[in-house]
Amino acid sequence: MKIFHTIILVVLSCVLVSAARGQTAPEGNDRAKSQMIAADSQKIESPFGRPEMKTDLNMKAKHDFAEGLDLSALRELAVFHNGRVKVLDTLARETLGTLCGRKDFFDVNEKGEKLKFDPMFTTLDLMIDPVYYADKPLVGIGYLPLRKLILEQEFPKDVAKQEFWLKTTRISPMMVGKYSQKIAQEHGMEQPYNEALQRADSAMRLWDSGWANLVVIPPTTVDKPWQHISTVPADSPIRKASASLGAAWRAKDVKAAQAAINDLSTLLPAMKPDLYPGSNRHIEVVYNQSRPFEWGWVVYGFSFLFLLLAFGTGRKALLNVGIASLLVAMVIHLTGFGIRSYLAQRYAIQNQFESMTGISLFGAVVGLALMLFTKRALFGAAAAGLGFIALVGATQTSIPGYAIEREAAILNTSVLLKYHVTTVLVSYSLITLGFLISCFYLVAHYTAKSRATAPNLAFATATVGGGGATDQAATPGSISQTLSDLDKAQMIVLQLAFWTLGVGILLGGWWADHSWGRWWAFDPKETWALITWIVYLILIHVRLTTGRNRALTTAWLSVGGFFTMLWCYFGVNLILPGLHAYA
Amino acid sequence: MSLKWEKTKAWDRENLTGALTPVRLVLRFLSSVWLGVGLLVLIAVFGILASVPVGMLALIPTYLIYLLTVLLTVAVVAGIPGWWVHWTLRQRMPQMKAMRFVVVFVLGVSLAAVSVWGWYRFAWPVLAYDTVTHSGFRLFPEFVQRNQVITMRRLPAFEMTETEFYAWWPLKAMLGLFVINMTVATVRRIEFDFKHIGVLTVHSGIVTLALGSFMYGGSKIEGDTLLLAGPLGADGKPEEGLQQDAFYDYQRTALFLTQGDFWEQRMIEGLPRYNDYNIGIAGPPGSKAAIEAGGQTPPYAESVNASKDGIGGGVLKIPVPAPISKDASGVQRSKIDSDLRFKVVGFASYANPTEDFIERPVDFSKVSPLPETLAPLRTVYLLGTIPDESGKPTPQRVFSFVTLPHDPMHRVRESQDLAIEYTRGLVKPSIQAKLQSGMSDQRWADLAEALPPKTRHALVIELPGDFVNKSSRQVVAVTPGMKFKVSGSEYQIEVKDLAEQPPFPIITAGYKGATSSVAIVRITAPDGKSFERYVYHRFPEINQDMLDERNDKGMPKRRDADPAIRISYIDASKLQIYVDEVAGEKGDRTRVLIREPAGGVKVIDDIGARGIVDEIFKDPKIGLEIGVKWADSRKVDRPLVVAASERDKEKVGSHQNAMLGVEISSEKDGNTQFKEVVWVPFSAFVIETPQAKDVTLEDGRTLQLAFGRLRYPLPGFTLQLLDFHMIPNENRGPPKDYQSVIRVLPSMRGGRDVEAFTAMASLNDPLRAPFHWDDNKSYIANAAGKIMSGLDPYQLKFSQAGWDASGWEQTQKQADAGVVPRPYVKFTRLQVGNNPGIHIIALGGILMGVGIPWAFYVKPWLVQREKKKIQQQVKDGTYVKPARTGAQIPVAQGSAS
Repeated sequence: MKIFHTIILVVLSCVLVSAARGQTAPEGNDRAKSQMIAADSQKIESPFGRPEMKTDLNMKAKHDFAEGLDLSALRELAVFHNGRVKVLDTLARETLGTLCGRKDFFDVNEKGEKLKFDPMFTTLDLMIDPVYYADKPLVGIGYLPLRKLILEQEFPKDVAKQEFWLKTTRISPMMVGKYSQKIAQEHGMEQPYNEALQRADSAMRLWDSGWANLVVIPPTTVDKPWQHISTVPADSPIRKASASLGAAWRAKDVKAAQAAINDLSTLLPAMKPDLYPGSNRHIEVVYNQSRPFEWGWVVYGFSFLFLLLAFGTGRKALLNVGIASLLVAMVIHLTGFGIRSYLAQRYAIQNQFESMTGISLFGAVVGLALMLFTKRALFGAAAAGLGFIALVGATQTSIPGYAIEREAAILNTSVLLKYHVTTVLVSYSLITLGFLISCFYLVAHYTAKSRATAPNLAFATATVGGGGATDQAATPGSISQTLSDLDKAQMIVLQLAFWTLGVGILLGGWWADHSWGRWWAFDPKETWALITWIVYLILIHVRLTTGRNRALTTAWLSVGGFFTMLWCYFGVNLILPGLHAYA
Repeated sequence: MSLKWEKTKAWDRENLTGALTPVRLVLRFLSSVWLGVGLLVLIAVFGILASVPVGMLALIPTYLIYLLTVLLTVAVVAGIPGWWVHWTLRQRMPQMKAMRFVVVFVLGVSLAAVSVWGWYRFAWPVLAYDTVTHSGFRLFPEFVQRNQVITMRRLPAFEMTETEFYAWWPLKAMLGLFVINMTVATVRRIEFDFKHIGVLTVHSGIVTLALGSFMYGGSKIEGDTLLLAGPLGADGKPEEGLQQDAFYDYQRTALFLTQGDFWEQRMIEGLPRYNDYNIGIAGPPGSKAAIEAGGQTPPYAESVNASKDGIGGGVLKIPVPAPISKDASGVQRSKIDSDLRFKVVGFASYANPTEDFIERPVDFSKVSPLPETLAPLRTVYLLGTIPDESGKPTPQRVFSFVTLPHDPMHRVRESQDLAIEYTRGLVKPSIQAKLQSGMSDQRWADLAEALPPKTRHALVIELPGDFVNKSSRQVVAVTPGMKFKVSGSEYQIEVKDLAEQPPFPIITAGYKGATSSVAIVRITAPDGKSFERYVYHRFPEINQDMLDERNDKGMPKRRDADPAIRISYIDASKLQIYVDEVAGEKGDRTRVLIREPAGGVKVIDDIGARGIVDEIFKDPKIGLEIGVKWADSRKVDRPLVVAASERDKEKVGSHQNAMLGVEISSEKDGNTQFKEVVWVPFSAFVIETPQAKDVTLEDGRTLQLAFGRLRYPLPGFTLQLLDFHMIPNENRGPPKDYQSVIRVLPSMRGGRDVEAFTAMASLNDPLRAPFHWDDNKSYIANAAGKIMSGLDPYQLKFSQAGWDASGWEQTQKQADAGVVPRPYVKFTRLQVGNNPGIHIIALGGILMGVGIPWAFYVKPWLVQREKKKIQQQVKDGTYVKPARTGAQIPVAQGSAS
């Protein structure tokens, strides 16, 4: 009866509201909505059979079982998810990203021992043996107050346990189930809690019915949709293989599980061989596993460090290592960009992640070109610094767009837009490059100011000039030459940035005119692009009026312009609403 | 400083003296580069104020302090030790400069990393502000919280969209002054020569772009239009759609009025967008008692801009006058009665319409209104036992239900688990009137029938007696599909369905909008004839028989339920509470009947003057109380303000979820006859899909109001939807393109010479009309037409802006099932806009784009070349230095650099 009472109270407290629908941006302006789990997940049965309600495996045994399996054949199976065909390996990484907030799962026991699991294994294990994870640190809760609130309720007096769980940055599905409703009632109207609870809810649905994403049956024709594995008859070899996999998995029978895995990976591509994706699958797995952008920032960082040391010490060997590592980083970066574009079947600069990787690539190319053209290695250092910062930002933070997704329809129907985006991204990369050079200038200027002579900068002069530095190269007049070179360098880059940004904005206006119906709408992105351009416009004109301090003024305005650009690039995209929803 | 500027200043000093000195000063001011820089800064600040919420701007000092703590930490942990190490090494190892650099660099970077980590680990948890617990450090936390999404233009003093704010005079003034400044500075400072062609081009480009923008902004119209598809043809595809001859403005709004024939639109000037005003204007909330019961929030309480009295917002008075234009005969064009005045007195920026009631006092000592004209209101409370402030379990009102016993639609309040029906049968016996909506004794008796345990649905079947047969009555527990014979007769009954709602809306007069669970039974009479009967649980008086014979339209013939067999339906699937007021000779009484779901029935003949039933349910204990009783009431629609966190950001400020409080008054001879305020919801497409508000004025006149966007006629042509395609990515992935095939036809109204043509509007490729690129014409004719159309404010673009996604999805399923040949839509939405002066803007952009590289790269190259040439001339001794006065002065060798 209490349930009845509750139902009455809940039902009666609901108010039916009807909201008029409408839109301001044109249709197709938004990216297709991410759907981490298939819409009808509740109606779909698990192809692996019912999960056991208790699990007696400990972390070590689970890990041993995982180590015994070879999942490589399964990784390359195609699955239709979130609007595109991808490989199961990608789905597994995305699943864990949504669930745990990271791309792999670490199991931790109470002694604090940690074991890392293959994302593919964990994803399958979640589908077959979800109960194992019920009390494991699985659900990533990024919002600290929510995590604390849940842990305080779960372990009211046990501070040590609270600390232990806090460190994992995750909580267990059981905890979410126990406390999320209560917390939603108390804090649901507060936006950060609301958003964190919604993410936890998505994670719970993945934990609860992740198998709903197994849309692995290829279509009969290209215009027909892919189907879920449960749509094939229960007595078909595929269903039998999946059921065997479930049974063997639960029985921890490595041999039988492996046989079922092999069957599945043979049977599924054979269903419709002419429509089943080909070599792309292998390339996608290689792309996932090689992590080119992660390697890219490591090598860029290495290059940056060596070029800076070369700048400071004047050692030619350091300079050579720095340049060589910059070239290696660029090759890795370019390869990653190329593969991503190939997999996405488009020019991969259409979301925040891709634009960051694009910016750093363009910046590195421009820096390299400038270095080759001017024979000044400092451009290379700035390029390496840019590559490092941008790729760290893209891969080590939670910026949107890591997963390869379909672009907004409005983006793929205009060639002009690609020119607009590329031009603007090139300008952003030049602004960053200019900022780094301006920072070098400011360091040089203030270091020189603090001392009567600047021997280190004297070495630098030679390095900047492209020659190896020696103590003999240091002359009393070299500091002004260094500053002059840096000033020239910053102006070359910033003028180019000013031009490309202006042209990029105008190209955007041209595209917006026939796409959004208005060449200029004072959308926050447009406004801030204009403000950024105005900063550089001021920079150029202030140079005409300031006398001896014009290089210093330029350097400081370049720093200001860089932060304005950063706000335009990140702040506006992620905080302010506007038509550039996909940017 | 350029030579020309020197010359200009010298000329000024020489010629602009005496009375012309102010002119010289103005010219100097307008030639200043710093003026340009200052204006650019102001323009940037204006942009910041327009785009960044004021709460976020107020966060800047806080973040600067955070940054300062980081910098201080780095300075203390890394800077000072790094400097000390550097100084020490310099003293001890003066020659090993490279080593010194490496050591200082590595140490500095490492210590900086450690200091940032330490700051993040120890200082940040203390500094970070938590919006829930308010712990941490933040300046102006309440201001920040309150204005975290409010940009300056949204404040009550502004109430502007982005485009309105940017079209505001301060920015126009700044831009105008900037253009003047740039023009004057260009003319007076920059040499007009080949070398400076770049900067001259850029400046000309900016002026051209500004002029184009001026024209553009002055004549720009933007809106959208809805094109409906035609009816489904024999081939399963929609036929040609209706011709659309108008579109709706994106920003400007209008009040639409009609007294019968057609809608009249009256533009509303200065309507707010983001804040609420006077949302309690339609009178005090009626269901006051319900609100007091707790658990229900008064609709006005969450007003964003609530006034001190809690009834939301400041004063708003926007008159909406009739059009002043007159037709040829001198008669005012307005077709609305001339005595009626309309004024916008309330505005809810983001709200949903909600029903409320206000009391209409009736003085029975003076008037005796007919009972049918009254709308008495009754409030019913559910009483739950909840701990009071001292913790003692006490019965309290937990839910309230407002009912109108005379109104079939409002006499029932129902949810999935509970229903309350409040009826008021006979009025005073002296009046001898029986209200249609009242509870008859027969129905009360039916409802009071005891049912077998666990029965969720039952039929009471009564066969009236006649001279031969005795009347019979039986109660049968039924389930869907059940067939049985009525005992003691030859009637056979099959239960076809037991539905929570009738399969089609009730349209019987007086019952419109009402709903009831229904038993659909097939009755086979003793003579073998059979028919279906709809037996309503709530309204047995409107039960209907559906005969097998068809009428002219091919629909089953209907008739009132055959009295030869009376059936009533008891719905025991949920907790049913029936409250009935009975007026009898001995006085009024209130009786209550409670039926537990699939359980027993309890009848209380008179609940007494307290109006309380202590226990209608045992576990948990729930009581019932009759609360407010009004003799008469009036239903009003009020805005229920949507909480800020639940609003769709894209709709905020767009009026799409707004409601308008309109005061209607009648004025005769300068005297106000009556006044009434009604709330009108927004209609995106007033003519096509109006959410109109019907109003009956005090003097009996009727009127319809709608609130929507200003509607413009298309200039001389109409549009017709011929076909629509959504192009998905492969394997039914997300949409890749949307394509509307449109026919442009000359309008019957005429006005312009328009050719009929068919074209497609798709993403990034709008349809253009009336001029369009015609492949049958020469390139020159097309190009000339395109350029001219760029200056024509009536040349419109139609971009694909919206579509019937749910219709497409539904028909895609039908197509997959082979029911229709392919999916289709019921409508498409096109964005409409003109582009006056766009080619001028484009020319300005091109000039800027071309001029910048000239100024940056070609000019320095030319200067460099000239320098080398001069150096060579100096070397050769042939160089002649140009004199400032224009005379040529020979220069000695080696003096130029």
